[in-house]
Amino acid sequence: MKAKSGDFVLPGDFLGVSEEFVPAEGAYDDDGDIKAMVVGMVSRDDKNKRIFVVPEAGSPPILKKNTTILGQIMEVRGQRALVKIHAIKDNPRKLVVSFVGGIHVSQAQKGYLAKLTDAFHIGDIIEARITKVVGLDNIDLKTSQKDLGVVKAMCTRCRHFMDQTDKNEVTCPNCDQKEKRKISMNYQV
Amino acid sequence: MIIILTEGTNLGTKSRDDGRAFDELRPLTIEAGVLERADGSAYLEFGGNKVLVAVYGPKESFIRRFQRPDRAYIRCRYNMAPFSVDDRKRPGPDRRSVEISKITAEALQPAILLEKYPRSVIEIFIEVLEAEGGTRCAGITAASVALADAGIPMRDMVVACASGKVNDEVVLDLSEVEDKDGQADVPVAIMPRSGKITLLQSDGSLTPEEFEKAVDLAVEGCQSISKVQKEALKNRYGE
Repeated sequence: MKAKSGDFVLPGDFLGVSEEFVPAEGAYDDDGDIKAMVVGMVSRDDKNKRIFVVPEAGSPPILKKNTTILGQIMEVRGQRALVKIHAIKDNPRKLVVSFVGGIHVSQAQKGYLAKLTDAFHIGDIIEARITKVVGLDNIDLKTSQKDLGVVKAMCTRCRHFMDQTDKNEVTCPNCDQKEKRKISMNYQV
Repeated sequence: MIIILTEGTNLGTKSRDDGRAFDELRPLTIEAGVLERADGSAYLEFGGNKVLVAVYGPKESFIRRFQRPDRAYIRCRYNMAPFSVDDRKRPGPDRRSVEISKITAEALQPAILLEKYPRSVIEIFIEVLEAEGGTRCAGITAASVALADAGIPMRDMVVACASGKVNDEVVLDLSEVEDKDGQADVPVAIMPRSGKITLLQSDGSLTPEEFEKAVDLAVEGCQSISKVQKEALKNRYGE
């Protein structure tokens, strides 16, 4: 029996045949039969001949464009800072594997930035938004918005977490070192 | 109306110690999403069996030998609580639980689209809180519901049920007494929509005809259990 939009389905339930639909998210093609692969509600796009299942149960987190992530700066090179992506913001589920993303100097803040070390240093915890995902390991990030940037900075001299003292400045409470950062409005004191 | 009375066969007779017919299952209830901190979970009561399953993942495998470059790895742990049986069970893994952990992972593997999550691990923890025969089947059935509750992409659900031979009769869903005193035990796990068998074990002596009958009976039992699985997920996520 063909599935209608709004039907509740379980993995393996028959949705249609491959002559009438292309399986989209939550559906797969099993030798010509389109079947559900997650628990959820069927949604049919008759115009584009696509059928998908909107998951009702939580699904493993996927990194896609415009997702806000939490990560840690691994390395700052001339034009690019490498970020180890730890989690998706406001999603308690762990990532499937750890990903490494990059922030280009032009995407770090609005306006001109001479050196990337004026925005990030190794060990900083940042919030960033995904701008592009290519393959599994090539993720581009940006922090050029008020709510994005460093949320916890680490002192390059003594590795203490630093306090915000100005719009773009943090000070170490341990050794009084002053450094520049692209600070998010969500900076954790 | 013509009623044909069959003698000599066990159709519809109440021949078993607990009063069940040869093809009757024990009372079964499944509840999905019982654990808050697990990605997916299920609680199952099957006769005197009480089984709790938690699923975590897919997540990064910190044990590097479990990482597969092209697919996810299933790590399964079947554990019986010390208080789950009449005589206290010595806690920790033993020969039997290591075997059941392995066959459970292998029974679930064909149903999960592992290739979608390379380099990751899916962890399944099956805790038997009370045991009364057929805990491996109960564990597989509950684990399948927990996997669906975790939103892990699957080709089909997996259902398991045992049949066996007691007092020279092939019967469905052996209880603990029947398992111990019986002549054979055949646990079967299937993917109910496609009918593919993912687990088939046989312990004891059966003739080829009896074995075939036992498998048919177990598959029928699986189909009935599959409806309860669906109901459990419907109750959790509603229509």
